[in-house]
Amino acid sequence: MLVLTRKLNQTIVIDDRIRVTVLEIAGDKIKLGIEAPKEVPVMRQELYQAVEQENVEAARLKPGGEFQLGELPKPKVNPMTNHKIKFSKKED
Amino acid sequence: MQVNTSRFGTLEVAEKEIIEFIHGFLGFGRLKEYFMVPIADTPYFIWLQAKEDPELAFLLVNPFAFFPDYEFDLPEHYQKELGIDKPEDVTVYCTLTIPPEGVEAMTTNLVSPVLINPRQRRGMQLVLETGKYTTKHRLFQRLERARVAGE
Repeated sequence: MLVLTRKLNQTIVIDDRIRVTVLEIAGDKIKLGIEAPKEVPVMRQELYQAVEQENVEAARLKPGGEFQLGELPKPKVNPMTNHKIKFSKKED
Repeated sequence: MQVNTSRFGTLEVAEKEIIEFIHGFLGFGRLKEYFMVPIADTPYFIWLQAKEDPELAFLLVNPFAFFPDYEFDLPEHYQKELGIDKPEDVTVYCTLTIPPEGVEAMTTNLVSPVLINPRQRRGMQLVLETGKYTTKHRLFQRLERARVAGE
């Protein structure tokens, strides 16, 4: 692991296109500003791990094992009328 | 083509049924090609089977059927990657898990919706950084509540 020491408002540059800046230091919390191309996903590691773990768990499901397909819940809502995705045009 | 699966036996799958997941799924990044296996009698649930791994399939649910208020933003670059230009062009699903307590404790992951453009056969799993949802929302609890509210 490469270890670099940075002070408040100092930045590191990764691969000429990603910049990570120390914006605030308060006790054991550090606020980082990350500038990266929009196609580079940036997320907290806990979230990444939670989703990965959830996918691994989801992939274990087998019909006839933990459940029967007939046991799946039946909703009353017609989901076709419930699309709530917003299309962001502006990105920060 | 013939595809072997551990849950559904050997299936005949047409090339045009294959959906390409550009980034794969977290934990299974290597596998990009999937196809849907419908479930009889329910339009709300569907299996997504990996073409290259007989063991890998996800049971998916239409989240809007159980969480009518579920919403998220889809950034423009993802719209482009999926090849869609309006919300109606994309189908949204979420993965399901069942804990040891049994099927009543079934949960769905609203943090990472699975988006599919059925026309161009492209898909991706998004990870929402909003903090609004978790990876475990109970389906049956919602159902009970909906039933009580409806009475």
